[in-house]
Amino acid sequence: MRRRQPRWEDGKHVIESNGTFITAAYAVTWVVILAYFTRLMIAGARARAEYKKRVGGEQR
Amino acid sequence: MQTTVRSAPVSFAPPRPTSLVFGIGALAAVVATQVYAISRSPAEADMGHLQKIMYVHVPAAWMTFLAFFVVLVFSVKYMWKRDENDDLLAASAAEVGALFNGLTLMLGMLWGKPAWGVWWVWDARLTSTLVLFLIFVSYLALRAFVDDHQQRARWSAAVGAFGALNVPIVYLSVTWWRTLHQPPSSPSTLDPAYTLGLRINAVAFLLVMIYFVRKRYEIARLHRAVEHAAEAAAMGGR
Amino acid sequence: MAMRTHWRRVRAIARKDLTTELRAKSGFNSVVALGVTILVLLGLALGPDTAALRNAAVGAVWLATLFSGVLAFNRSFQVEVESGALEPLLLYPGPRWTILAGKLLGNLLFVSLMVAIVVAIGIVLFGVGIPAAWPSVLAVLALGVLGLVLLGTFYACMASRSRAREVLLPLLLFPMLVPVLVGATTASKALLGADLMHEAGAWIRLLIAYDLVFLIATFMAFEHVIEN
Repeated sequence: MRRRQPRWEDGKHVIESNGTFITAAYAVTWVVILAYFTRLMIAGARARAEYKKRVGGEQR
Repeated sequence: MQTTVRSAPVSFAPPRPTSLVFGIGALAAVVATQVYAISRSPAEADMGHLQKIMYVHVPAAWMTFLAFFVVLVFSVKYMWKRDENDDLLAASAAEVGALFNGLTLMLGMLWGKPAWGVWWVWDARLTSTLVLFLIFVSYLALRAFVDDHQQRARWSAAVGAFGALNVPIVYLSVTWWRTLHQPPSSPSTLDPAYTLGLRINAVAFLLVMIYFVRKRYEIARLHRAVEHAAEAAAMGGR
Repeated sequence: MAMRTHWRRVRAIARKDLTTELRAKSGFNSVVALGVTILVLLGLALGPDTAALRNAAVGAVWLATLFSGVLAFNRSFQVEVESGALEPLLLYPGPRWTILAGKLLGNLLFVSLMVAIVVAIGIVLFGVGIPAAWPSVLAVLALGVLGLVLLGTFYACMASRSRAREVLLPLLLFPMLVPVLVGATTASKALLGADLMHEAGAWIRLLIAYDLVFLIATFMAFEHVIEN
Protein backbone atom coordinates (compact mmCIF):
# COMPACT_ATOMS: atom_id res chain seq x y z
CA MET A 1 0.00 0.00 0.00
CA ARG A 2 1.37 3.42 -0.91
CA ARG A 3 2.41 5.58 2.02
CA ARG A 4 0.56 8.82 2.53
CA GLN A 5 3.55 11.09 1.72
CA PRO A 6 5.01 9.73 -1.48
CA ARG A 7 7.90 11.20 -3.40
CA TRP A 8 6.67 13.23 -6.33
CA GLU A 9 7.47 10.55 -8.92
CA ASP A 10 5.65 7.94 -6.82
CA GLY A 11 2.88 10.42 -6.15
CA LYS A 12 2.35 11.03 -9.83
CA HIS A 13 1.83 7.32 -10.36
CA VAL A 14 -0.64 7.13 -7.51
CA ILE A 15 -2.55 10.11 -8.77
CA GLU A 16 -2.71 8.83 -12.30
CA SER A 17 -3.82 5.34 -11.34
CA ASN A 18 -6.53 6.86 -9.19
CA GLY A 19 -8.06 8.15 -12.37
CA THR A 20 -9.15 4.62 -13.25
CA PHE A 21 -11.04 4.31 -10.01
CA ILE A 22 -12.66 7.70 -10.38
CA THR A 23 -13.84 6.82 -13.85
CA ALA A 24 -15.05 3.46 -12.63
CA ALA A 25 -16.97 5.10 -9.81
CA TYR A 26 -18.83 7.46 -12.10
CA ALA A 27 -19.41 4.70 -14.63
CA VAL A 28 -20.91 2.43 -11.97
CA THR A 29 -23.11 5.27 -10.73
CA TRP A 30 -24.51 5.96 -14.18
CA VAL A 31 -24.96 2.31 -15.06
CA VAL A 32 -26.95 1.71 -11.90
CA ILE A 33 -29.08 4.83 -12.28
CA LEU A 34 -29.81 4.35 -15.96
CA ALA A 35 -30.46 0.63 -15.59
CA TYR A 36 -33.03 1.19 -12.85
CA PHE A 37 -34.52 4.10 -14.78
CA THR A 38 -34.97 1.86 -17.82
CA ARG A 39 -36.41 -0.91 -15.70
CA LEU A 40 -38.98 1.48 -14.28
CA MET A 41 -39.85 2.71 -17.77
CA ILE A 42 -40.47 -0.80 -19.04
CA ALA A 43 -42.33 -1.95 -15.94
CA GLY A 44 -44.40 1.21 -15.98
CA ALA A 45 -45.41 0.81 -19.59
CA ARG A 46 -46.38 -2.81 -18.98
CA ALA A 47 -48.32 -1.97 -15.86
CA ARG A 48 -50.21 0.82 -17.55
CA ALA A 49 -51.04 -1.38 -20.53
CA GLU A 50 -52.30 -4.12 -18.22
CA TYR A 51 -54.35 -1.61 -16.28
CA LYS A 52 -55.97 -0.28 -19.42
CA LYS A 53 -56.75 -3.77 -20.59
CA ARG A 54 -58.14 -5.14 -17.35
CA VAL A 55 -59.75 -2.15 -15.75
CA GLY A 56 -60.33 0.12 -18.69
CA GLY A 57 -60.45 3.86 -18.55
CA GLU A 58 -57.53 6.18 -18.24
CA GLN A 59 -55.40 6.92 -15.24
CA ARG A 60 -56.58 9.98 -13.42
CA MET B 1 -59.09 -16.29 4.63
CA GLN B 2 -60.03 -14.18 7.59
CA THR B 3 -59.77 -10.49 6.86
CA THR B 4 -59.69 -7.99 9.65
CA VAL B 5 -62.46 -5.45 9.58
CA ARG B 6 -60.25 -2.68 10.85
CA SER B 7 -58.56 -1.74 7.56
CA ALA B 8 -59.32 1.61 6.06
CA PRO B 9 -61.06 1.46 2.70
CA VAL B 10 -58.46 1.38 -0.05
CA SER B 11 -58.55 3.61 -3.06
CA PHE B 12 -57.74 1.36 -5.99
CA ALA B 13 -57.66 4.11 -8.56
CA PRO B 14 -54.04 4.49 -9.55
CA PRO B 15 -52.22 7.74 -8.86
CA ARG B 16 -51.49 10.40 -11.41
CA PRO B 17 -48.75 9.33 -13.84
CA THR B 18 -45.25 10.30 -12.78
CA SER B 19 -43.91 12.96 -15.10
CA LEU B 20 -41.23 11.67 -17.45
CA VAL B 21 -40.07 15.24 -17.89
CA PHE B 22 -39.33 15.36 -14.18
CA GLY B 23 -37.32 12.17 -14.48
CA ILE B 24 -35.24 13.37 -17.39
CA GLY B 25 -34.79 16.68 -15.63
CA ALA B 26 -33.50 14.91 -12.55
CA LEU B 27 -30.95 12.97 -14.61
CA ALA B 28 -29.88 16.18 -16.31
CA ALA B 29 -29.44 17.80 -12.90
CA VAL B 30 -27.10 15.00 -11.88
CA VAL B 31 -25.05 15.49 -15.04
CA ALA B 32 -24.86 19.23 -14.55
CA THR B 33 -23.90 19.07 -10.89
CA GLN B 34 -21.29 16.39 -11.52
CA VAL B 35 -19.71 18.39 -14.33
CA TYR B 36 -19.65 21.47 -12.12
CA ALA B 37 -18.18 19.70 -9.12
CA ILE B 38 -15.54 17.78 -11.06
CA SER B 39 -14.32 20.77 -12.97
CA ARG B 40 -14.27 23.12 -10.00
CA SER B 41 -12.69 21.03 -7.26
CA PRO B 42 -8.92 21.15 -6.98
CA ALA B 43 -6.61 18.15 -6.81
CA GLU B 44 -5.50 16.94 -3.42
CA ALA B 45 -1.82 16.66 -2.57
CA ASP B 46 -1.88 13.01 -1.56
CA MET B 47 -4.62 11.36 -3.46
CA GLY B 48 -4.97 13.42 -6.60
CA HIS B 49 -8.53 13.60 -7.73
CA LEU B 50 -9.76 10.65 -5.69
CA GLN B 51 -11.77 13.05 -3.57
CA LYS B 52 -14.11 13.41 -6.55
CA ILE B 53 -15.67 10.05 -5.80
CA MET B 54 -17.23 11.76 -2.81
CA TYR B 55 -19.59 13.61 -5.12
CA VAL B 56 -21.40 10.35 -5.87
CA HIS B 57 -20.57 8.25 -2.82
CA VAL B 58 -21.80 10.69 -0.17
CA PRO B 59 -25.08 11.63 -1.90
CA ALA B 60 -25.78 7.93 -2.46
CA ALA B 61 -25.26 7.33 1.26
CA TRP B 62 -27.52 10.23 2.20
CA MET B 63 -30.25 8.92 -0.09
CA THR B 64 -29.96 5.52 1.61
CA PHE B 65 -30.68 7.10 4.98
CA LEU B 66 -33.49 9.16 3.57
CA ALA B 67 -35.06 6.05 2.09
CA PHE B 68 -34.86 4.32 5.46
CA PHE B 69 -36.58 7.29 7.01
CA VAL B 70 -39.38 7.14 4.44
CA VAL B 71 -39.78 3.43 5.13
CA LEU B 72 -40.03 4.21 8.85
CA VAL B 73 -42.59 6.96 8.43
CA PHE B 74 -44.91 5.03 6.17
CA SER B 75 -44.51 1.78 8.08
CA VAL B 76 -45.64 3.53 11.25
CA LYS B 77 -48.40 5.29 9.33
CA TYR B 78 -49.61 1.97 8.00
CA MET B 79 -49.68 0.46 11.48
CA TRP B 80 -51.78 3.41 12.53
CA LYS B 81 -54.13 3.96 9.59
CA ARG B 82 -54.06 0.60 7.78
CA ASP B 83 -54.10 2.32 4.39
CA GLU B 84 -52.58 -0.17 1.98
CA ASN B 85 -51.17 2.59 -0.18
CA ASP B 86 -48.84 3.52 2.64
CA ASP B 87 -47.52 -0.02 2.57
CA LEU B 88 -46.89 0.22 -1.16
CA LEU B 89 -45.07 3.51 -0.71
CA ALA B 90 -42.89 2.10 2.06
CA ALA B 91 -42.05 -0.89 -0.12
CA SER B 92 -41.15 1.37 -3.04
CA ALA B 93 -38.87 3.42 -0.82
CA ALA B 94 -37.27 0.22 0.44
CA GLU B 95 -36.50 -0.99 -3.07
CA VAL B 96 -35.00 2.34 -4.11
CA GLY B 97 -33.17 2.52 -0.79
CA ALA B 98 -31.63 -0.90 -1.39
CA LEU B 99 -30.49 0.34 -4.79
CA PHE B 100 -28.76 3.41 -3.37
CA ASN B 101 -27.38 1.31 -0.54
CA GLY B 102 -25.76 -1.10 -2.99
CA LEU B 103 -24.39 1.83 -4.93
CA THR B 104 -22.97 3.38 -1.76
CA LEU B 105 -21.15 0.15 -0.98
CA MET B 106 -19.68 -0.21 -4.46
CA LEU B 107 -18.52 3.40 -4.50
CA GLY B 108 -17.09 3.02 -1.03
CA MET B 109 -15.01 0.10 -2.25
CA LEU B 110 -13.91 2.01 -5.33
CA TRP B 111 -12.69 4.80 -3.07
CA GLY B 112 -11.16 2.38 -0.61
CA LYS B 113 -9.02 0.34 -2.98
CA PRO B 114 -6.77 3.23 -4.07
CA ALA B 115 -6.91 4.89 -0.67
CA TRP B 116 -6.27 1.86 1.54
CA GLY B 117 -4.90 -0.65 -0.95
CA VAL B 118 -7.57 -3.25 -0.34
CA TRP B 119 -11.12 -3.70 -1.62
CA TRP B 120 -12.62 -4.08 1.81
CA VAL B 121 -11.80 -3.01 5.32
CA TRP B 122 -14.06 -3.53 8.29
CA ASP B 123 -14.27 0.21 8.63
CA ALA B 124 -17.12 1.54 10.76
CA ARG B 125 -19.06 3.28 8.01
CA LEU B 126 -18.60 0.65 5.32
CA THR B 127 -19.52 -2.17 7.67
CA SER B 128 -22.59 -0.38 9.01
CA THR B 129 -23.73 0.37 5.47
CA LEU B 130 -23.36 -3.32 4.64
CA VAL B 131 -25.51 -4.29 7.62
CA LEU B 132 -28.11 -1.75 6.52
CA PHE B 133 -28.11 -3.34 3.11
CA LEU B 134 -28.84 -6.70 4.68
CA ILE B 135 -31.76 -5.16 6.57
CA PHE B 136 -33.18 -3.77 3.32
CA VAL B 137 -32.72 -7.13 1.63
CA SER B 138 -34.45 -8.97 4.45
CA TYR B 139 -37.41 -6.56 4.21
CA LEU B 140 -37.72 -7.25 0.48
CA ALA B 141 -37.34 -11.00 1.07
CA LEU B 142 -40.19 -10.93 3.59
CA ARG B 143 -42.43 -9.31 1.01
CA ALA B 144 -41.44 -11.91 -1.56
CA PHE B 145 -42.34 -14.81 0.74
CA VAL B 146 -45.70 -13.63 2.01
CA ASP B 147 -48.62 -13.94 -0.36
CA ASP B 148 -51.56 -12.48 1.51
CA HIS B 149 -51.60 -8.73 0.86
CA GLN B 150 -52.85 -7.62 4.23
CA GLN B 151 -50.52 -9.88 6.14
CA ARG B 152 -47.63 -8.80 3.95
CA ALA B 153 -48.47 -5.17 4.59
CA ARG B 154 -48.80 -5.64 8.35
CA TRP B 155 -45.62 -7.63 8.70
CA SER B 156 -43.62 -5.36 6.39
CA ALA B 157 -44.64 -2.39 8.47
CA ALA B 158 -43.33 -3.99 11.66
CA VAL B 159 -40.13 -5.22 10.02
CA GLY B 160 -39.56 -1.88 8.30
CA ALA B 161 -40.11 0.11 11.45
CA PHE B 162 -37.87 -2.15 13.52
CA GLY B 163 -35.17 -2.07 10.89
CA ALA B 164 -35.22 1.70 10.71
CA LEU B 165 -35.22 1.87 14.51
CA ASN B 166 -32.10 -0.26 14.55
CA VAL B 167 -30.13 1.90 12.10
CA PRO B 168 -28.63 4.30 14.65
CA ILE B 169 -27.94 1.47 17.09
CA VAL B 170 -26.11 -0.50 14.40
CA TYR B 171 -24.00 2.53 13.50
CA LEU B 172 -23.17 3.24 17.10
CA SER B 173 -22.21 -0.32 17.94
CA VAL B 174 -20.11 -0.86 14.81
CA THR B 175 -18.36 2.47 15.31
CA TRP B 176 -17.47 1.54 18.90
CA TRP B 177 -16.38 -1.87 17.65
CA ARG B 178 -13.89 -0.15 15.35
CA THR B 179 -12.78 3.03 16.96
CA LEU B 180 -11.91 1.70 20.37
CA HIS B 181 -8.91 0.16 18.69
CA GLN B 182 -8.29 2.39 15.72
CA PRO B 183 -9.13 5.93 14.73
CA PRO B 184 -11.70 6.38 11.97
CA SER B 185 -10.34 6.27 8.49
CA SER B 186 -13.18 7.58 6.39
CA PRO B 187 -12.55 10.48 4.03
CA SER B 188 -13.12 13.96 5.31
CA THR B 189 -15.76 15.89 3.49
CA LEU B 190 -15.46 18.97 5.60
CA ASP B 191 -13.06 20.93 3.41
CA PRO B 192 -15.03 23.99 2.30
CA ALA B 193 -13.64 23.75 -1.23
CA TYR B 194 -15.79 20.70 -1.72
CA THR B 195 -18.93 21.54 0.22
CA LEU B 196 -20.87 23.40 -2.45
CA GLY B 197 -20.21 20.76 -5.06
CA LEU B 198 -21.29 18.08 -2.60
CA ARG B 199 -24.49 19.85 -1.67
CA ILE B 200 -25.70 20.44 -5.19
CA ASN B 201 -24.90 16.87 -6.16
CA ALA B 202 -26.91 15.73 -3.19
CA VAL B 203 -29.88 17.79 -4.33
CA ALA B 204 -29.65 16.28 -7.81
CA PHE B 205 -29.57 12.77 -6.32
CA LEU B 206 -32.58 13.70 -4.24
CA LEU B 207 -34.51 14.59 -7.38
CA VAL B 208 -33.59 11.25 -8.91
CA MET B 209 -34.66 9.40 -5.79
CA ILE B 210 -37.99 11.21 -5.65
CA TYR B 211 -38.61 10.25 -9.25
CA PHE B 212 -37.63 6.62 -8.66
CA VAL B 213 -39.83 6.23 -5.59
CA ARG B 214 -42.85 7.91 -7.17
CA LYS B 215 -42.53 5.86 -10.34
CA ARG B 216 -42.07 2.64 -8.42
CA TYR B 217 -45.07 3.49 -6.26
CA GLU B 218 -47.17 4.22 -9.32
CA ILE B 219 -46.30 0.81 -10.74
CA ALA B 220 -47.17 -0.87 -7.46
CA ARG B 221 -50.54 0.90 -7.36
CA LEU B 222 -51.27 -0.10 -10.95
CA HIS B 223 -50.53 -3.73 -10.17
CA ARG B 224 -52.72 -3.59 -7.11
CA ALA B 225 -55.57 -2.01 -9.08
CA VAL B 226 -55.38 -4.76 -11.67
CA GLU B 227 -55.34 -7.44 -8.97
CA HIS B 228 -58.28 -5.88 -7.21
CA ALA B 229 -60.24 -5.78 -10.43
CA ALA B 230 -59.48 -9.45 -11.03
CA GLU B 231 -60.56 -10.34 -7.49
CA ALA B 232 -63.76 -8.38 -7.82
CA ALA B 233 -64.53 -10.03 -11.15
CA ALA B 234 -63.86 -13.45 -9.65
CA MET B 235 -66.27 -12.72 -6.83
CA GLY B 236 -69.08 -11.99 -9.23
CA GLY B 237 -68.52 -8.65 -10.85
CA ARG B 238 -69.21 -6.43 -7.87
CA MET C 1 -56.95 -8.25 40.10
CA ALA C 2 -56.39 -8.11 36.37
CA MET C 3 -52.62 -8.38 36.67
CA ARG C 4 -52.90 -11.74 38.32
CA THR C 5 -55.11 -13.09 35.53
CA HIS C 6 -52.65 -11.75 32.96
CA TRP C 7 -49.74 -13.37 34.76
CA ARG C 8 -51.66 -16.62 34.92
CA ARG C 9 -52.21 -16.51 31.18
CA VAL C 10 -48.54 -15.78 30.56
CA ARG C 11 -47.48 -18.68 32.73
CA ALA C 12 -50.02 -20.98 31.08
CA ILE C 13 -48.70 -20.27 27.62
CA ALA C 14 -45.11 -20.61 28.75
CA ARG C 15 -45.91 -23.86 30.49
CA LYS C 16 -47.74 -25.18 27.44
CA ASP C 17 -44.78 -24.42 25.20
CA LEU C 18 -42.25 -25.89 27.58
CA THR C 19 -44.33 -29.02 28.23
CA THR C 20 -44.64 -29.60 24.51
CA GLU C 21 -40.89 -29.27 24.21
CA LEU C 22 -40.14 -31.48 27.17
CA ARG C 23 -42.51 -34.25 26.11
CA ALA C 24 -40.95 -34.32 22.70
CA LYS C 25 -37.64 -34.10 24.50
CA SER C 26 -35.98 -34.58 21.19
CA GLY C 27 -36.68 -30.91 20.58
CA PHE C 28 -34.43 -29.45 23.24
CA ASN C 29 -31.84 -32.17 22.93
CA SER C 30 -31.44 -31.77 19.18
CA VAL C 31 -31.17 -28.01 19.38
CA VAL C 32 -28.44 -28.30 21.99
CA ALA C 33 -26.77 -31.02 19.95
CA LEU C 34 -26.77 -28.70 16.96
CA GLY C 35 -25.22 -25.91 19.01
CA VAL C 36 -22.45 -28.21 20.13
CA THR C 37 -21.94 -29.52 16.62
CA ILE C 38 -21.51 -25.98 15.34
CA LEU C 39 -18.96 -25.33 18.08
CA VAL C 40 -17.01 -28.40 17.05
CA LEU C 41 -17.10 -27.42 13.39
CA LEU C 42 -15.91 -23.93 14.27
CA GLY C 43 -13.11 -25.41 16.31
CA LEU C 44 -12.08 -27.54 13.38
CA ALA C 45 -12.33 -24.70 10.91
CA LEU C 46 -10.51 -22.12 13.01
CA GLY C 47 -7.98 -24.29 14.83
CA PRO C 48 -5.90 -26.21 15.72
CA ASP C 49 -3.66 -23.44 17.05
CA THR C 50 -4.65 -23.03 20.69
CA ALA C 51 -4.03 -19.29 20.72
CA ALA C 52 -6.22 -18.79 17.67
CA LEU C 53 -8.96 -20.88 19.25
CA ARG C 54 -8.85 -18.97 22.50
CA ASN C 55 -9.26 -15.74 20.53
CA ALA C 56 -12.12 -17.20 18.57
CA ALA C 57 -13.92 -18.65 21.59
CA VAL C 58 -16.34 -15.83 22.30
CA GLY C 59 -17.32 -15.44 18.67
CA ALA C 60 -17.72 -19.18 18.22
CA VAL C 61 -20.03 -19.52 21.23
CA TRP C 62 -22.20 -16.65 20.05
CA LEU C 63 -22.45 -17.93 16.49
CA ALA C 64 -23.38 -21.39 17.71
CA THR C 65 -26.02 -19.76 19.91
CA LEU C 66 -27.44 -17.70 17.06
CA PHE C 67 -27.68 -20.54 14.60
CA SER C 68 -29.28 -23.01 16.98
CA GLY C 69 -31.41 -20.30 18.53
CA VAL C 70 -33.09 -19.74 15.19
CA LEU C 71 -34.33 -23.31 15.29
CA ALA C 72 -35.71 -22.86 18.78
CA PHE C 73 -37.67 -19.77 17.77
CA ASN C 74 -39.29 -21.31 14.74
CA ARG C 75 -40.23 -24.31 16.86
CA SER C 76 -41.92 -22.09 19.41
CA PHE C 77 -44.59 -21.26 16.86
CA GLN C 78 -44.56 -24.51 14.99
CA VAL C 79 -47.24 -26.16 17.09
CA GLU C 80 -49.67 -23.36 16.45
CA VAL C 81 -48.86 -23.20 12.76
CA GLU C 82 -49.14 -26.91 12.13
CA SER C 83 -52.24 -27.59 14.16
CA GLY C 84 -53.99 -24.33 13.38
CA ALA C 85 -54.10 -23.57 17.06
CA LEU C 86 -53.33 -19.91 16.61
CA GLU C 87 -56.88 -18.87 15.80
CA PRO C 88 -58.46 -20.35 18.91
CA LEU C 89 -55.66 -18.84 20.96
CA LEU C 90 -56.49 -15.45 19.52
CA LEU C 91 -60.19 -15.89 20.19
CA TYR C 92 -59.70 -16.28 23.93
CA PRO C 93 -60.68 -13.11 25.73
CA GLY C 94 -57.85 -11.12 27.19
CA PRO C 95 -55.05 -8.97 25.95
CA ARG C 96 -52.81 -10.29 23.23
CA TRP C 97 -49.57 -9.18 24.83
CA THR C 98 -49.88 -12.05 27.24
CA ILE C 99 -49.32 -14.40 24.33
CA LEU C 100 -46.05 -12.67 23.51
CA ALA C 101 -45.04 -12.64 27.15
CA GLY C 102 -45.78 -16.35 27.47
CA LYS C 103 -43.81 -17.21 24.34
CA LEU C 104 -40.96 -14.99 25.49
CA LEU C 105 -40.81 -16.67 28.87
CA GLY C 106 -40.79 -20.11 27.32
CA ASN C 107 -38.11 -19.19 24.80
CA LEU C 108 -36.05 -17.41 27.43
CA LEU C 109 -35.90 -20.53 29.58
CA PHE C 110 -35.23 -22.76 26.59
CA VAL C 111 -32.47 -20.61 25.13
CA SER C 112 -30.88 -19.82 28.50
CA LEU C 113 -30.53 -23.50 29.25
CA MET C 114 -29.14 -24.12 25.79
CA VAL C 115 -26.65 -21.25 26.08
CA ALA C 116 -25.47 -22.51 29.47
CA ILE C 117 -24.59 -25.86 27.94
CA VAL C 118 -23.00 -24.35 24.84
CA VAL C 119 -20.91 -21.95 26.95
CA ALA C 120 -19.74 -24.72 29.24
CA ILE C 121 -18.64 -26.87 26.33
CA GLY C 122 -17.17 -23.85 24.57
CA ILE C 123 -15.01 -23.08 27.58
CA VAL C 124 -13.61 -26.58 27.45
CA LEU C 125 -13.19 -26.90 23.68
CA PHE C 126 -11.65 -23.49 23.14
CA GLY C 127 -9.47 -23.42 26.23
CA VAL C 128 -10.95 -20.33 27.84
CA GLY C 129 -9.74 -19.28 31.26
CA ILE C 130 -12.43 -18.16 33.73
CA PRO C 131 -11.70 -14.50 34.47
CA ALA C 132 -12.05 -12.70 37.77
CA ALA C 133 -14.81 -10.61 36.23
CA TRP C 134 -16.98 -13.64 35.44
CA PRO C 135 -20.16 -12.15 36.97
CA SER C 136 -19.89 -9.32 34.45
CA VAL C 137 -19.47 -11.86 31.66
CA LEU C 138 -22.61 -13.54 32.92
CA ALA C 139 -24.43 -10.21 32.82
CA VAL C 140 -23.30 -9.60 29.25
CA LEU C 141 -24.47 -13.08 28.29
CA ALA C 142 -27.84 -12.53 29.93
CA LEU C 143 -28.40 -9.19 28.22
CA GLY C 144 -27.39 -10.64 24.88
CA VAL C 145 -29.66 -13.66 25.28
CA LEU C 146 -32.54 -11.36 26.20
CA GLY C 147 -32.08 -9.32 23.02
CA LEU C 148 -31.78 -12.51 20.99
CA VAL C 149 -34.95 -14.03 22.44
CA LEU C 150 -36.94 -10.79 22.15
CA LEU C 151 -36.36 -10.32 18.47
CA GLY C 152 -36.17 -14.04 17.72
CA THR C 153 -39.62 -14.67 19.18
CA PHE C 154 -41.11 -11.61 17.49
CA TYR C 155 -39.74 -12.35 14.03
CA ALA C 156 -40.54 -16.05 14.33
CA CYS C 157 -44.16 -15.09 14.86
CA MET C 158 -44.10 -13.88 11.27
CA ALA C 159 -41.49 -16.05 9.59
CA SER C 160 -42.92 -19.34 10.85
CA ARG C 161 -46.14 -18.53 9.01
CA SER C 162 -44.51 -17.54 5.74
CA ARG C 163 -43.47 -19.59 2.78
CA ALA C 164 -39.75 -19.99 3.49
CA ARG C 165 -39.40 -20.00 7.24
CA GLU C 166 -35.99 -21.71 7.40
CA VAL C 167 -34.26 -19.00 5.42
CA LEU C 168 -36.52 -16.07 6.23
CA LEU C 169 -36.06 -16.11 10.01
CA PRO C 170 -32.25 -15.92 9.97
CA LEU C 171 -32.37 -13.45 7.09
CA LEU C 172 -34.63 -11.13 9.07
CA LEU C 173 -33.10 -11.74 12.48
CA PHE C 174 -29.34 -11.74 11.99
CA PRO C 175 -28.87 -8.21 10.62
CA MET C 176 -31.06 -6.92 13.45
CA LEU C 177 -28.88 -8.72 16.00
CA VAL C 178 -25.64 -7.06 14.89
CA PRO C 179 -25.56 -4.71 17.89
CA VAL C 180 -26.07 -7.68 20.22
CA LEU C 181 -23.39 -9.75 18.54
CA VAL C 182 -20.90 -6.91 18.41
CA GLY C 183 -21.67 -5.76 21.94
CA ALA C 184 -21.72 -9.14 23.62
CA THR C 185 -18.58 -10.46 21.92
CA THR C 186 -16.51 -7.30 22.33
CA ALA C 187 -17.49 -6.87 25.98
CA SER C 188 -16.85 -10.54 26.74
CA LYS C 189 -13.47 -10.44 25.07
CA ALA C 190 -12.54 -7.36 27.03
CA LEU C 191 -13.63 -9.01 30.29
CA LEU C 192 -11.79 -12.24 29.47
CA GLY C 193 -8.70 -10.16 28.99
CA ALA C 194 -7.96 -7.42 31.47
CA ASP C 195 -10.46 -4.86 30.11
CA LEU C 196 -7.71 -2.27 30.25
CA MET C 197 -9.82 0.34 28.57
CA HIS C 198 -12.91 -0.32 30.65
CA GLU C 199 -14.99 -0.94 27.56
CA ALA C 200 -17.31 -3.47 29.09
CA GLY C 201 -19.36 -0.89 30.97
CA ALA C 202 -20.17 1.05 27.82
CA TRP C 203 -21.17 -2.09 25.97
CA ILE C 204 -23.37 -3.23 28.83
CA ARG C 205 -25.17 0.10 28.71
CA LEU C 206 -25.62 -0.30 24.96
CA LEU C 207 -27.07 -3.78 25.40
CA ILE C 208 -29.45 -2.54 28.09
CA ALA C 209 -30.62 0.27 25.80
CA TYR C 210 -31.08 -2.14 22.91
CA ASP C 211 -33.06 -4.57 25.05
CA LEU C 212 -35.28 -1.79 26.38
CA VAL C 213 -35.96 -0.33 22.95
CA PHE C 214 -36.98 -3.66 21.50
CA LEU C 215 -38.83 -4.83 24.59
CA ILE C 216 -41.10 -1.84 24.19
CA ALA C 217 -41.24 -2.08 20.40
CA THR C 218 -42.13 -5.78 20.30
CA PHE C 219 -44.91 -5.44 22.82
CA MET C 220 -46.31 -2.45 20.97
CA ALA C 221 -46.19 -4.13 17.59
CA PHE C 222 -47.21 -7.66 18.61
CA GLU C 223 -50.94 -7.08 18.35
CA HIS C 224 -50.27 -5.90 14.83
CA VAL C 225 -48.41 -8.98 13.62
CA ILE C 226 -50.19 -11.77 15.46
CA GLU C 227 -53.44 -11.41 13.54
CA ASN C 228 -54.14 -13.95 10.88
